[in-house]
Amino acid sequence: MSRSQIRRVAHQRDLGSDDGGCTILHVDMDAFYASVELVTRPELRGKPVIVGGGQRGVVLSGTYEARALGIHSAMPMSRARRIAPQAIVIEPHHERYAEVSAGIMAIFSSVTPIVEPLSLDEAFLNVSGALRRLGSATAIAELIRARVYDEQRITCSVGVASTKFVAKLASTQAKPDGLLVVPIDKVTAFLHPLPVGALWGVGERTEERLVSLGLRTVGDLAHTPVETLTRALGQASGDRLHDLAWGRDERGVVPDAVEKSIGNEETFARDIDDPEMIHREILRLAQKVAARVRRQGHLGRTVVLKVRFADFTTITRSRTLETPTDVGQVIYTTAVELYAALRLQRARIRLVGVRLEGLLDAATRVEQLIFDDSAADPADRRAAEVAADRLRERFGRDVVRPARLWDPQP
Amino acid sequence: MDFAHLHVASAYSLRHGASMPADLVARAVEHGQSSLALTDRDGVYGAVRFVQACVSSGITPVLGVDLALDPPARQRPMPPAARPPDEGVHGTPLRGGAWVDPRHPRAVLLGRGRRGWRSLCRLLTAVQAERDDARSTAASFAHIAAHADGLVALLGPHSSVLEALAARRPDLADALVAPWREIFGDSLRIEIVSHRARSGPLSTTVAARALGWARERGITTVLAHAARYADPSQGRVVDVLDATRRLVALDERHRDRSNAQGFLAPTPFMAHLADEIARAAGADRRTSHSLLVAAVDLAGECAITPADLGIGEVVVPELDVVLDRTCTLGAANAARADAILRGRCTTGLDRYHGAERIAARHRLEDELRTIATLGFATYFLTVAEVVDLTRTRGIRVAARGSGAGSLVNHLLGISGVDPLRHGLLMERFLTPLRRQLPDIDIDVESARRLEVYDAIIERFGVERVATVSMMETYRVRHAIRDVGAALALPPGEIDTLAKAFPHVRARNARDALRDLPELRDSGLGRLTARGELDHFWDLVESLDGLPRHVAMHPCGVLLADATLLDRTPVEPSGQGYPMSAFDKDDVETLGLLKLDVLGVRMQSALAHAVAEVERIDGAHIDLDAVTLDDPATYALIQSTRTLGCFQIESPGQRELIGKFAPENFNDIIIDISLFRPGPVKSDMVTPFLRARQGWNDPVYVHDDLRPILAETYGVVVFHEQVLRIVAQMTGCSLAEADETRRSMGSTEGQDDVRAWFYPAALAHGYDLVTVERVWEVLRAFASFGFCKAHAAAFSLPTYQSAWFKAHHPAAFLAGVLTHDPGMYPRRLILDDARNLGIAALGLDVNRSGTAYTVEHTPGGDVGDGGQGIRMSLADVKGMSESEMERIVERRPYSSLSDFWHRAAVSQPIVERLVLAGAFDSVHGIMSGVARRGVTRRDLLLQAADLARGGPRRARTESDVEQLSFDTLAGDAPPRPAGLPEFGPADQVRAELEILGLDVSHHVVDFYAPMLDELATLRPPLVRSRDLVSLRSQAEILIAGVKAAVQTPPVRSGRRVIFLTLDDATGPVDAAFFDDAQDPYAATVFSSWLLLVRGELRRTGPRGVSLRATGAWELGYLHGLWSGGGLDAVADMFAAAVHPDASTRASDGQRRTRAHATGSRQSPVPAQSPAPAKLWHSSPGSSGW
Repeated sequence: MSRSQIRRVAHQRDLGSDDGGCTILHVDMDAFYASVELVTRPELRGKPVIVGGGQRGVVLSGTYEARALGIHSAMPMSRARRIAPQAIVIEPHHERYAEVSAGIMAIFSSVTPIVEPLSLDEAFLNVSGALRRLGSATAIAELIRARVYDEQRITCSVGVASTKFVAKLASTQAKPDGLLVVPIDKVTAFLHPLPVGALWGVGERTEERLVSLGLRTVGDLAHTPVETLTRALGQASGDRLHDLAWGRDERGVVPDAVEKSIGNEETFARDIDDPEMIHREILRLAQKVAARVRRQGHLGRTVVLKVRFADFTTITRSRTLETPTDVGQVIYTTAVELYAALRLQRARIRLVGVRLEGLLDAATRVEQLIFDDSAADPADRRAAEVAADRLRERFGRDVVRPARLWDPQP
Repeated sequence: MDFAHLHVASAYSLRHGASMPADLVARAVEHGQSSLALTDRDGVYGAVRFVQACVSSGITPVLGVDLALDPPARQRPMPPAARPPDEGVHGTPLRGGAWVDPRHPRAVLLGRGRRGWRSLCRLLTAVQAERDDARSTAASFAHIAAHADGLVALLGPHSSVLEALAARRPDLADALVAPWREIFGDSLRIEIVSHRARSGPLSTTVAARALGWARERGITTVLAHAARYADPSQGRVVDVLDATRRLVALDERHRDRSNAQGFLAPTPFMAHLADEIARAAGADRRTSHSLLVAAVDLAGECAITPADLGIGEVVVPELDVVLDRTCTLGAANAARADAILRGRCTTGLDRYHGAERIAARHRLEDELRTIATLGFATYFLTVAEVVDLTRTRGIRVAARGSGAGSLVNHLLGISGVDPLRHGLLMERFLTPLRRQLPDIDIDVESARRLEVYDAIIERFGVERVATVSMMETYRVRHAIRDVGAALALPPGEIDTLAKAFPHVRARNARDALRDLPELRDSGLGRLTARGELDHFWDLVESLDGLPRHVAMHPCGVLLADATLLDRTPVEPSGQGYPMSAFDKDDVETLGLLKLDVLGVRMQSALAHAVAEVERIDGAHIDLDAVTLDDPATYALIQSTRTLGCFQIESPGQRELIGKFAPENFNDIIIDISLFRPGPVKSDMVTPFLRARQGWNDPVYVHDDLRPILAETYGVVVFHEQVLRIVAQMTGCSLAEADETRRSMGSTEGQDDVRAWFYPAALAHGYDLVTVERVWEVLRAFASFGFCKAHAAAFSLPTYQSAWFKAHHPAAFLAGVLTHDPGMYPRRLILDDARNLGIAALGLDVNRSGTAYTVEHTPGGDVGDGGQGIRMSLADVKGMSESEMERIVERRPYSSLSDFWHRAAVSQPIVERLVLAGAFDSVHGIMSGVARRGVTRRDLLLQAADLARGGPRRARTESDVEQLSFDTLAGDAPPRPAGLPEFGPADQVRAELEILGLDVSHHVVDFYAPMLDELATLRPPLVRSRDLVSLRSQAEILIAGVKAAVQTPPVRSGRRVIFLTLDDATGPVDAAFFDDAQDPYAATVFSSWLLLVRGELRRTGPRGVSLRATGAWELGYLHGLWSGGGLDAVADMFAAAVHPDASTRASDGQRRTRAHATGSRQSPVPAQSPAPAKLWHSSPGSSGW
């Protein structure tokens, strides 16, 4: 069930304002990319605006006017153009979004150190330590909303609750430009009218299964014996959904969660099948990932290749290395081997991604003796890449790159 | 100077060439070139059309094939960039499939005369026989060596030899050419082609190198141009074709052409090119001249004539084969065949007595004389043999078409209709004036059609039998799919785009977007109107009509003598049947005997019904022996309750039979003949009905015509009547009259006939006024008449189905449900059954079979001891043949657990069976009764438990004993699961989703409270059964499930949408004309449950239909109603567009758009219902 459908079912703003014990905030920008664009183009306010990659690619964000026409993010642009031919399409400006995002995150950090960012434009905040300094959770939420608007001229919605998942559902219900507090004693009243699809972890398949059992709302789920749920869904899912249906969620807000992996991915301007182009993209991503890994002083053990096809099906393949690495060339070689093993011939590819997992501290590096002197020594490779890192630091991003990635017309 | 293009691909090189043969011929004629070759890739699908086009344009045809070769890989001296994409790739790709069309080396083989043609046919057959899958075919050298007789080989730019030269490996070229020289000797040519590519085999440099190399070795060179389209502007089209053929997105790597040069160039252009190549080779002008001359000379050598293809001959199986005897009498065969035919027919005469017998004998003598003159006796014996073969296997068979006019066919048992009784003429079928094999089509049970094919092949031998092929061409949907894929649109988007269109021609895509309101007002229409998609539509339209796929024709079977494989290449069809490269028209041109063996679903439905009656009541029905005068049958037809009956179930037909009220078999024949576009368009129906109903007197132009036209009240309906009128007026024979009738199809033909008819009729003693009036009737009739024999053949299954419905409705409808012969969805047929008092019995693992079956029902809520129809397992979504067979074979089942362990059915299917109620009776779950106890949901949970319980342990009968731990079997009370009840709405939702049928309740029942209230509104809502009591022109509302939507062509040429709704009391029909389509067409097409407003039209004693003025989605109205009550609905109607001129105060100003969205919680899903086919949608077959 899509977000908009979930929204349609329940408009609950009359839960009262008792925020006692509600220390978790979920802050989510409204139509983030689109809102950021409208800051510099106020003449487009009130119009359907789509941020996305021109004729191809996908929708990154749309204004609420565009959403009313059926546009949602990740929709192919060609489809968006067809269902909303009147919409104005703006090509994305990623640097600008990163800038605004940094500003927002700075606001969050000024409120509480316990901030768990989920993406550029949303985060969980635990404000229990800020209550004495800044007032009630509701007041803090209003403060954040006001500061975000003052500083960035965009609106956001905030959910205030005692648990992360309720806070997140509350911010969804509050959209756009709203605030919803779910008092502790109103959690079940808030949750139970929602469709089961609203629950975290209920995908399309699970939802279908629940509906065939006659369980349409969270309330239906809550009042079903947990044994029945575990029979239908298995032990773990059954228990978890039952807990969620009663508002039980033990997860805390974890600031600066240690990164377990570092990865980058790229959606092509159009679906391609040219192995040459795909190899080149994998090389670029591998170099990027390696540079990030080095910057953070990590080594990674497992290389993961992700491929998304034209029909949006996605696969990942991984290989664990004998020696952890931070060398782009090693990541590249491994990823290309993983790619070759797919034996793709006609498959149309939308996206490739490269990720390094199993991160550990670079201090644990063990230099291996290389006896085969004919092959390129990873150590030499690494030295070259580190040198390139330095050059880039001094002279800018584009100063040095592998010859294969040199493009005469950037 | 002259030039001949000897290497030309047409669009019959599927997804390679862009021009049709006729266009290529026309272009060659424009260029003044006196001959032209057609060398399609790996097939000769266009050969017959091409030869005909050449002959009628006066140029000389040459035929050949551009054949993919399969040499060892090491012989390919190609630079890495030019390597085929799949070289060196092994293993199966994870996704997306393997490369298609791996750029094999190629050679062109031209045929010299009849011998050459034979070799081409045999060679292609041999190559195709080894095709292992759908991927392109490649010939081995052994194939070519075996069939080189009469062939000339051209090694051109795509051959290994030229590839070697392009790679500067003359040594390799020498090695590669050696075997060709050995086989072809003087018949080997090196084809010199330059597309002026920058490099590679199509460059002038390489062409020059090849020229020099060939001259040194004494191999004749010819200039060619490897053309694949007539005009350079078609380059973009072949790019799309390349991408489509390879199933990849458009990309430089997948493109075959390097520039736009590969077109059918004019002679001076070619001469210039020859000079250029000669110069580059350091040769003189003599050399360049000889390149041109060699092409013309070779074209002359390889000139082919229609006779070389066997055009003008008539080919039927050898008499000995037909008779299955091996004595040969040589030249006396024809006489022997005549004698045998006579003998068989005379035996059949016993069924006639007295005067009838004398008439029959005369008629037979006439027909036999004609057949003997034409030498077609063997043909008739062959068809009779096929019909006998079919009957012997217990398969229902009936003749269709004009063959029913022949007494010989009737006496041989081919046709069940007696031509003497119904005034049918042999001459409409066969005359001594046309030496062409007539068409005898036979209808067999659709479900057993392939059995008939097997029997024919087994009987006549694979060397004499092949099916006819059918070239599928691009229409708009496929064009959108292929262009969309080539342009790398997202797959889901392509699908939506394609399905948005009706089945129109690709070239009309933009017209449809402009003219059809539901497309025009869509986002797609608006983007197109702004010109943003011009590139896309240009490509879509450019594919219009190009062949895209060869498929087995659904009914054509060739029966020939042992020379069949010399006349046509034969390839295995998708289903593995031998299939000719030629389609039905080509085959007719080639004089081959083609028998249409049509699979007719109604025949299967009737066979199923007969079997069910026998199974249930033990009564055997010989349907073919039922007399044609049963009053109950005509009563049923007159009642118009003819859903499911052959030919008379459409809204238009029900309206017509309501007015017509057929009383005998001849009436049915007339009814079927009247209900076609021609008579409807020319309004022949009205005068006929007025005279029939006694409102007007029949009008006869002349008393002499009265006996001919009396049966149709003075209106000319049948071809047979035309023949008789012409014969009567001029005194000519019926055979000559038939020639006259055929000529009247075209305007020039009419002029010719007129010039003959006037003096002939005047000379025969008719006055000018009469002649003129008769001529007017004939002229007006020319395009509309129908062959009465054809209609009579059709009327037999019509009568038989109505007879069955009148006497054994449950068995009949079970047959209809099983074989789905008609236009309506099964759910409407099921509803018809309910309305006839037949119970719809739910799915049951212990009772449901692989088809719909009849059961006696105990007395009770459905009347006492009636019959019911049990749902079929075959309709469960995703059910496989083998699972179904297993379920039936291993019954009975004592519980779900028992079923789980023994039937070995996959979990999703088990869940669907549970949800559809198939275990209700096993577990004592009472449908629709709310009580605490086991529900279908408990069983779902148990299925999940079972699925988790590891592999199934017992799958055989003997192991069942151990399975007594069954938790839900017997008395063991189930664990209470605490799940909600499975209510009636849940049931119907599940039935629609899983079976595509609402079995337990009619969908509309869930809207009854709202509909009952709407009945008090102004205009009121009326149910179907109450419509007959209303006055004409009343404004009313109707509501129901969409059963059919048709957009047939109509007299005005404007589109009318005919919608059939089913509201649980019967079907209602509504027509949307232009003004109502603008605001409401989109709703009609996109919704499933609808409410329609309109004005009632009475069309006859039982005929009622609605002229629609609005349509709304029922779920949307239900939302309004449940929110704001009746007032909210009334307000919405008041505000909605009313396309009635009188009420349209401000024309063109739309206040409220009809909206199909916004449905809230409807009782049952009102939008995007089950994926099963729930309504019929078509451009309409006939009538209206």
